[in-house]
Amino acid sequence: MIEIEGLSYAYPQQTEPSLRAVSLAFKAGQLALVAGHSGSGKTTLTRCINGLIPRRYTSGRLQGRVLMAGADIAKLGLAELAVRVGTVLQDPETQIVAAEVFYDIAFGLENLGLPRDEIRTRVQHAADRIGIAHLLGRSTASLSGGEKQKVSLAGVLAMQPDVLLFDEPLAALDPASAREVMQLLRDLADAGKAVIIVEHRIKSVMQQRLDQVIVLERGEVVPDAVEMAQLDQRYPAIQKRARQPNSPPLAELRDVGFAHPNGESVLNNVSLRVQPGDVIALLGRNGVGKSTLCKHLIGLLRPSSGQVFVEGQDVVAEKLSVAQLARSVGYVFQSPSFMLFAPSVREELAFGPRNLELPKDQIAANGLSAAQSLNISEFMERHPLALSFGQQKRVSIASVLTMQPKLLIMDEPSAGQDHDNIVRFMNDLLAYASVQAMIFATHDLDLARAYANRVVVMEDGAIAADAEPEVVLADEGLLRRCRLK
Amino acid sequence: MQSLLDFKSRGTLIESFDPRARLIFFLCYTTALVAIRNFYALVPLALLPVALFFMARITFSETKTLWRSNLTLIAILTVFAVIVGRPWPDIAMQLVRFLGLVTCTFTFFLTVNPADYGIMFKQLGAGDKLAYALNLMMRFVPTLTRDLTLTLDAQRARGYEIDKIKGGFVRQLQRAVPVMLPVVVRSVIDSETMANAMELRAFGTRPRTWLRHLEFAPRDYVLIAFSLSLLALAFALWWFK
Repeated sequence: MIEIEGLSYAYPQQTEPSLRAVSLAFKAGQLALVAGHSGSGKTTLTRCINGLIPRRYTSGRLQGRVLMAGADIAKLGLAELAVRVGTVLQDPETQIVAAEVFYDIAFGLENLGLPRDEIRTRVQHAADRIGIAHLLGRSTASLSGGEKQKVSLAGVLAMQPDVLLFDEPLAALDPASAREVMQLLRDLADAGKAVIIVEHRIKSVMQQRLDQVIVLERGEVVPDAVEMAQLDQRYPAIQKRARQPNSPPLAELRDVGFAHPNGESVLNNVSLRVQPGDVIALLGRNGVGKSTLCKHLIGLLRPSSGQVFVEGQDVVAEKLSVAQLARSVGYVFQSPSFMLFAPSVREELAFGPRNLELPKDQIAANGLSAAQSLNISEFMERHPLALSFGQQKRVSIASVLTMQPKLLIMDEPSAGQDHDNIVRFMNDLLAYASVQAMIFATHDLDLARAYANRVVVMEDGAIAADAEPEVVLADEGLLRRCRLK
Repeated sequence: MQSLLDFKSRGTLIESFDPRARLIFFLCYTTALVAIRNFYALVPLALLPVALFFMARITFSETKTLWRSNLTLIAILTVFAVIVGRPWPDIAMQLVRFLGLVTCTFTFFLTVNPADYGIMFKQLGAGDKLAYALNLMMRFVPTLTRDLTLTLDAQRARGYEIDKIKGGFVRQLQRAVPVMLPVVVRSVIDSETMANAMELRAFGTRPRTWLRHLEFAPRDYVLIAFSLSLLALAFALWWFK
C-alpha cells in the first residue's frame, strides 16, 4: 500500500537530517508499530506519509519518495491524499474543529463537497463503527479525552482512507481504554486498512497482535526491532524507600468531598494520610478524580466538605493560600508548556523561590542543586522553550524542586516522555534530599510497580484500595473494575 | 470558568428564530442603545433585553460569574464617571445603557448554538474560509479558557499570586507574563497543529458543502423589520433631539 524509498529529510537550519535513507513498506490489512525515542524521526516519518512534508514544511531538504499505491505522495493533490491517508493526531483537542460531534465527524466530508445525504450516511456509519453514535448530538467541549480521540478517529474514518496513521493514540488513555482502541485498530487492519501507529507506550500496543514493528533511532531503521522495542520498556529494579507509618503525616485529607458548581460530584468522603517515606502511585480511570484529589493538597481546590491538613495545619480553617502551601507541597503539572515562560532555565528555576521571597543566595543555591539533580545544568542559559520536550519536563520538575517541597505531587509524569527520560528523572527525584514523600498520578502500572511503595486506587470519586503495590497490583478484579487492565 | 458560549438548548421562542435574524436584531439594538440620548426613551429600550433574558429561560444562578464580572466593571466605570465630574443625568444614562448592553449580549450569545456560527456568517455572505475561521474562534473559547485556568494553577503552585500584582501599567504587564506567555505560546503551537489537522481533512481544497442550512421563516422577516425600524427610530431621535 505504501512504499518508502530512500527517504531522507532535514528541517531548515538543521545540519543533521531527521530521517536518513529510510526504506520501508506498509501493507494493506496489516497493523504496524513505529517506535523510537524522542527525536528519533517518528513524527517526521508520519509527516512524510501524510504529505505535510513537503506541502506545509516546504523549505526542508527532502530526498527519496513515498509511494501510495504506486503514486508519489508529493505529487498528489491535497484532497486526493486526504481520502487516501487519514491521520489522527496525538492531541485530539487540536484536531476537533466543530462545536458538535456530528459536525466534527462531517468536517472532512463537507470539505470534499460531498452531497448532504451522503455525508449524513457516512457520519452515522463511522459513528456506529467506533461505537459513539450516542455522542452525535453532544457538544465537543463536553467530551472526555478518550471520547475526543474516538470522535477524531470517526472523522478520519468517515473519509474512507486506505491508510490510517495514528500519532500516539494511547497517550491520554487509561489502560482499559488503550486496550479497546488497540482492538479497534486491529479490527480496522483486519478489514483491509493499512494501520500505522507511532507510539511511546509500546507495551500497551504490543499486547495486541502486530504484523510489523519498526524502531527508529537517529532517523534510521534499527534491525531486530521487536527485541529492541521490548527491552526498551523495562524499568530497572531499584531499592525502594522505606515507609515511616508512625511519623506524623505531611498531608492529610479527612472525609473530603468535592463537587463542581454544576453539582457534579467528583470526590466522596476521601481520607488519605501521606507520611514521610511514602512514594504513592495514584491510579484510576480517566476522569475519576485523581487530579482533583491532588489539587486539594496544595489548595488549588477547596473541599466542599471535610478537612485538608498540610503539616498539621487546617488549610481551610486557617485560610492558607496556595503560595503558603507551596513551601511544603510541590505540584508538577502534566505538560511543561503550561508553566515555562522565563527567558532562561536559570530564571525559570528562580521564579518559584523568588515568589516565596527566599534570600537571593538561597534562590541561586536551590536552583543549582535542582539543576544538578535533574541533569539540566548544561542548559542553564538556554531558553526553556528551545529545549526538547523531555528536557522541558525536567526543567518543569526542577522549577518546583527549587522551592524545596517536602511533598512532591506529579500529574502523569510519564505522559509524552520516552522511557529513558522517565527512568532518569524518577531516579533523580527519589534521591532528592528535600522530598520526603511523593505522589504520582499515573496510568502506567509498571511505573507504579517499579517506584511506588504504596498504591492508592480511586473508583467513583472514592478510594477503592490503599496498600503495598504487591497487594493492589495483584488484584485482577479490582484492576479490571477500575479500567486499569 | 464560565463562558459566554456555554450554550444549552432550552427550546424557547427565542431559539426558534433564525440566528441571522437574531444577529441583525443584536446589532441594530446595540447601535440604537448607543445612539439614543433621551433618558425616557432609553429606559424602556434597556428593559427590552431583560424581558428577552427571562424569555430565554436563562437563570441568574447559572450566569452569576458573568454577572459578577460585568457588574464590577460597570461599577468601576460609574465611579470613574462620578470622579471625573460627569453630570448626573449622563451617569444615569450610561448606567442604563450598560445594563441593556450586557443583558442583550448575554441573551444573544447564550441562545445561539455555537454550531450555527459558521453557517450564520456563510449565509450572510462570508466566504468558506472566513466563515469557518469565525466558527473556529467560537470553538476555541473553551480551549483558551481551559489553558488559562491550567496555566494560572501551575504558576500559583509556584507561589505566584495574581492578586498581588501592583504598580503601574508596565509593571502589571510584566507581572502577567508568567500566565500570558505560556497561553500565547500554546495557542500559537495549537493553531499550527490545528492548521495541519484541517489540511489533512482537505480543508480549503474546493468549495465545501455546509451540512447545516438556515431558512428564514416569516417570523424572522418580522424580527428584521422590527430591528431596522428600531434603528431608524433611534437615528431619528438622535437627529431631531
